[in-house]
Amino acid sequence: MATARATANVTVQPLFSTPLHMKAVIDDINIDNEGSSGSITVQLEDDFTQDISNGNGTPTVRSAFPFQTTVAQTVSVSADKNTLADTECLGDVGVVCSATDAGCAIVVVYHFE
Amino acid sequence: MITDLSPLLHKTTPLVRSDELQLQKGSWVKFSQFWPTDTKTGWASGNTFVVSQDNILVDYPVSVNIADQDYAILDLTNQTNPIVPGVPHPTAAQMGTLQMYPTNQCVLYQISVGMKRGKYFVQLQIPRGTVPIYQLGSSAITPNITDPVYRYLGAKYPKDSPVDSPTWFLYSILNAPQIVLLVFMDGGDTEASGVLYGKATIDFKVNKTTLSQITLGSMAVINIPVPSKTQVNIPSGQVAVVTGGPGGDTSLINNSNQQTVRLAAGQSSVVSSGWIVNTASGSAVLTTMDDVRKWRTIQERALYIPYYTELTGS
Repeated sequence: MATARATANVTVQPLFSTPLHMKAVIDDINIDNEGSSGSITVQLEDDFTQDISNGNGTPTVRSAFPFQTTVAQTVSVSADKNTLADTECLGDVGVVCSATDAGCAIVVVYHFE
Repeated sequence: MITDLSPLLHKTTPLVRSDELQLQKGSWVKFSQFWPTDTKTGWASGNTFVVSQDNILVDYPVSVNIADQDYAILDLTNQTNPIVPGVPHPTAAQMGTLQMYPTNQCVLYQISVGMKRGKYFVQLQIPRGTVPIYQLGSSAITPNITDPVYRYLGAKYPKDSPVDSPTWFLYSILNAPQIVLLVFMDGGDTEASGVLYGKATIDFKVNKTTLSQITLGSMAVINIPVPSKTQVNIPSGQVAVVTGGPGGDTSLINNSNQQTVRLAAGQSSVVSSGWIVNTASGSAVLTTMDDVRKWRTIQERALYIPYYTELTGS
């Protein structure tokens, strides 16, 4: 398993890219909001390309948000494997938050299959 | 064009020789006589070959991200714009061809289909748009990727040919009919804008083999000139086998009682000393009983590659 870390930001902070022929399985997400911005909403974002299919004639970038939580200031939360229930990502994975605050850290544990 | 083993086989590997799953140098291959005898595939039709060079394995993973209840078309041919007579040219569904066909005669690609786990299944069509290969005899039920019920009929799932031990093999030769896999997503896990998506990854392994034709004649001990009348000189106590030439008018004449036996093309007969072989056209070939036994063994054990029309019957 691998880990990726980012701090809260209103723009997407890249965590990792899923290899072309694999899926990323999220094992754990830890959020430690020790900043000064109050409650922060954290979203995991998965940007992947939908391939040509019967219902889609051109490759199209799609954005999925498979995980979201709001963490109060000075609170630390952890979503483990049971909570995430084999959440899978297909493309470039990052986090986007409701506020920019370097004091709020997000650590994602994942592996590829 | 297909070898389809039971999934159980990968659990009983001690009982299966590797060369029974994957062609290697020395493996025997026999093409069905139903392969067209035209200039495209005539070299293979009805003929038997041996893999004459070391095989080369080419890993070729293919992945598609598609929406739930949608399907992608994987066309294994080398064509850029494949068109099947009577079938509308694909538009949105066409994602290009995968170029998994040889470009020369006497080359066979054995393609294993290893499916990574996921909520998808695969329907096979040879060629595209025709009656699916995996169907039952009744015309009342036909696999149909657009039908909510019959899209599941004859479908192949990842458990049927898992990526670590694939049991599903496809075979391609130069100018062979179009092999098409329809990959249907049946339960995506990733939601984006209210639509579920999933990734289907198929790990193709292309086993490139070079073939050399083997015939009973190639093992012959005597070749008879055409046309000719030749005394068969077989040592006392031994026998030989005469195979009728392509002219179909090979005859055997017994010197002592003038009995005549006519052989059709390809028909064989065992003769002993004292016989005359008469070939008015074509050629007849003498060979030993040992060679004939070996030939029969090859015919029995060679990997049989049927033509797709043999696979869609009742």
